[in-house]
Amino acid sequence: MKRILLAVALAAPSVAMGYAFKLDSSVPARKPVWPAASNVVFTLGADRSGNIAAGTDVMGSLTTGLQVWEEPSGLRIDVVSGPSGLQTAMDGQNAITFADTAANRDALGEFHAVTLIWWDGNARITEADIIYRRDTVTFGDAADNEAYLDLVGLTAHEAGHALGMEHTAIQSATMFPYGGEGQYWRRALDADDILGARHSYGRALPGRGTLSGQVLRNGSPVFQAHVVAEQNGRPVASAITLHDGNYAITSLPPGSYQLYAEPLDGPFYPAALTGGEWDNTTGAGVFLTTYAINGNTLTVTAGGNAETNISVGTGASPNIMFATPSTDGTSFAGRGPYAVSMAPGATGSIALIGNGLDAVTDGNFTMGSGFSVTAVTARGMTTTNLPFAILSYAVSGAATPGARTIFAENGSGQQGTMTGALIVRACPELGGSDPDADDVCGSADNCASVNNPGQEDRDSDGTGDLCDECPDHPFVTGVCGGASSASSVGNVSSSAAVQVSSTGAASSSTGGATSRASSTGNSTATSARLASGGRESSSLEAGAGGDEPGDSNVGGCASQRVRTDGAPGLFLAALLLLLARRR
Amino acid sequence: MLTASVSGTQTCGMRQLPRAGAVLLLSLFCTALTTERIPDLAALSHSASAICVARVASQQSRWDAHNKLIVTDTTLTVTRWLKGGTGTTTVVTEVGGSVDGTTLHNPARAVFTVGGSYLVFLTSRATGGQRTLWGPYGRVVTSDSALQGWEVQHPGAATLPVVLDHIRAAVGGQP
Repeated sequence: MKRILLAVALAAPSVAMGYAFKLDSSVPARKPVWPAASNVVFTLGADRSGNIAAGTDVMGSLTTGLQVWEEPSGLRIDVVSGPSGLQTAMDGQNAITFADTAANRDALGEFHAVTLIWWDGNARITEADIIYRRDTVTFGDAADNEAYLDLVGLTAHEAGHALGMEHTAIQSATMFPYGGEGQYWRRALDADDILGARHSYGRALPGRGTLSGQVLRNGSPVFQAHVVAEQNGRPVASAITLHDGNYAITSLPPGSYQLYAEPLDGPFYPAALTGGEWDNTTGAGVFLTTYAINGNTLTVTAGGNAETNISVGTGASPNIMFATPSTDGTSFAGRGPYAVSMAPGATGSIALIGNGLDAVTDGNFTMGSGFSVTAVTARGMTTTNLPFAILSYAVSGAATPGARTIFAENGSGQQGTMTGALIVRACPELGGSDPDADDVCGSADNCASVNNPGQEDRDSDGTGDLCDECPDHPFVTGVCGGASSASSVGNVSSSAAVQVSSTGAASSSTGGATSRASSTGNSTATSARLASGGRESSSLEAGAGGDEPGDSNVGGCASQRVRTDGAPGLFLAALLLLLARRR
Repeated sequence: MLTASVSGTQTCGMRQLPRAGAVLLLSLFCTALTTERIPDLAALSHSASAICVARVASQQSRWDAHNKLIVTDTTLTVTRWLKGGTGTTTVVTEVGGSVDGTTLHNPARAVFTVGGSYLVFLTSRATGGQRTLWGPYGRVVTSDSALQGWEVQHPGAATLPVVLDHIRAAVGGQP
């Protein structure tokens, strides 16, 4: 079977098969990988530099970062302690080193970390050595201290390289090439990362489909076009074309997708792609970001392949990137941070900078589902004549975890994109409080003690229906506005509080005015998403219909309060108990 | 490979942003943003020990002196030094390459093509010799006066004369 698959791969044309992989110099290029089901053991050298934050569990962090790839790749990955003096060399030992040696400095250059990969003439990876920088940065747990470069996240990135993954242009992905302190969200794999590893190691999920075709400009193939499959501003996966302009995004869940091709004009640049064909960094240059079939959706079916070519226009779309304010707050110090991670319900502000931004009117900045641009608070030109804009935005409390894209469309209908520049994180990943496990964090949750991911609030009084004594009318001086709250299914009696235990047993107490349904079943569901690299589950398992709960008409329907991914029986039990008490 | 931060990035002032607003903005950013970025032209120019426009005369991969790593020596015929450097040829040594069917892939390596013309930012190697500053970000394919692909990374710097002006400004009058 393996031989057959290899023959197919060798006979296949040079196609960017979704995501991005390391390439060898063969024609057509091959993707170096470890032999299937290998047990890849890394050895951590005992030499440690002084730039690891006190209290950092180095071995644990490395193990966690490496093992996020186990499930999608099917490899077993372990780390063991090694001696001091461990060297990066072709010696059959997969070294991880923080040692400050001349050889390591030459290999690292100016980068935080680098992974040297050895492969043989059959494009079989035989060894990988990971080198961490000794100076200029401090490694630690960025979830605890954003001044640290997250050791788990950085290791996850380097581990992707060790498995043969190349950088991706989706900014939310672990394999996005640029990042820095505080970006602990890299430790959870993005859908693009997971699908890429699955494809690379022949572990595509059943029942998935493909989008494929060719990117052309004036009839000629476009090299290094970034082709993105998205759902409502949520990037799912992407491919970068090789010289023949072909792309194929495989392993997509059945559903409807929009597909666009964008140039690698920042914040991702062709220089981030190395090896084989990628080393020709001239790329396609700038072209208009262009949607397939005029922005209409393409349908992916299980086992199907929706083919479409994308003819990109000449010219330049608004080229938008994040800008970083200077330390005194009076200027921009440069580009970055490449991706911003936000909690559901949060508000914030971002600065964008780039050519063509001045042709985008305030109303033409948009973000993926669950985000809204609330104001454009400042605009202007930098002293180097680059337009900038500062946007305020809000994240829906019901926004589901995952990546979003920022769009900026000018008066000619030309659209600039920052693919995956925004990330909605689940509370536990943010270190925030989400006692009811509904992924709506802390004070943003209109009913913090009851699992209500839809945040239903029929009377718009800021208190969620499941916590509202009078869900159909604002509560005023102890009176429900004359409304009959009894007509509302699931309403909570003012004289009782209900707690549902994790085992489904319900208990009640008197004197309270709130309802509480704490379900470890739901908590477990959230934890499981994290442990398995939950960004895939958030953006992929939803499939075609999976989108923001807040985007649909949630009304006040009791059935929509029941989570289907956790322990719906617990909620049904709670509702039945409430109804029984009302009688 | 994950990029590191770089100092000396060109600053662009906010002409129309009131200071108070900017300070507020900064306070909002401090909680969420980082400052990592790839090098721009000024940073490259400042940090490079030498800058040249050159054509690749030859290239050879080999095992290093300790037989531990594969390195690739690229001999450049220099047509113009823009900063530092002397002579008509110079050698760049990078970790990575292929020898006898074995490949060492180093994503921090700048790969050159024999016969190709490049603008190259150079720095010293810890083990001797020189390498490309910032790896693949520190070498740009040139064709006559054009810099292929450069304009997308450094808007407004699409041609060699323009880049030379930028470099001249960045290095304080040189070349």
